[in-house]
Amino acid sequence: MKYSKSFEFFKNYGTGRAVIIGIIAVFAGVVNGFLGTGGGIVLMLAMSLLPKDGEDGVRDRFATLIAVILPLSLISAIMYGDKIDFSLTVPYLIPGILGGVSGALLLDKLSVTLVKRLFAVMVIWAGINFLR
Amino acid sequence: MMDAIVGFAVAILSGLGIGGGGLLVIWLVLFCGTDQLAAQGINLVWFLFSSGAAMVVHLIKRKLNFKLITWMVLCGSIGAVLGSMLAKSVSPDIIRSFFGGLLILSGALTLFRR
Repeated sequence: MKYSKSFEFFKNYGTGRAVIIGIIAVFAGVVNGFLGTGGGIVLMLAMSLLPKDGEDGVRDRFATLIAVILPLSLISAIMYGDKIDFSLTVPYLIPGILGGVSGALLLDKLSVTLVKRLFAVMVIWAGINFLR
Repeated sequence: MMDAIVGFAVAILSGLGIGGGGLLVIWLVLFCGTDQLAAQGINLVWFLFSSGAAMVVHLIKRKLNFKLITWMVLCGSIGAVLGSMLAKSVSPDIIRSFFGGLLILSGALTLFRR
């Protein structure tokens, strides 16, 4: 099958796989819009379908994932519109910027396995609280 | 002050890919008594700033797969519109339950993968 340049993506990944990735991306958008977070976890699933080429490192994949979630979050934030009280977001913005940069830099230096496990237990605890 | 510490700590975790956004919603809803949907909105805006800033670092240091990004954003945008409309039209209690479910699921995935 011949592909025009704009559909090169399908050639590289195979049409079937590209379509499945697309469907998962739609679902990631729905989750991210509906719950204000969580799109990243869904996209991880889509990324795991891709061939694990040596050069395509874990950190590069993670950065790619954030690059997808950012515009999706922007769309959702605009859609939320008057539901967002911007004065309430203010205290979190500067620390958010500083923390975001720190985390992105630390990503090369830290082994995150232990932190991840602690985090997972905490999140499960919080999840149970939300269900009550 | 506590707000600033939480905002910073959560952003570091988010930048590390351990998980981020959900934590701010947890903080706002369970500890500050913010409404579910309002907390999610705050989280979306916070994420734009924290991950937007992290993205600058990633753009310099890492190799992004732009074809994949374009395809996923095209498809994901449709979902983002649908999901946001859904969030505004169903009861906060339902959203809350789904949010709890997402947390438990993502915690379990983090614990048991690899």
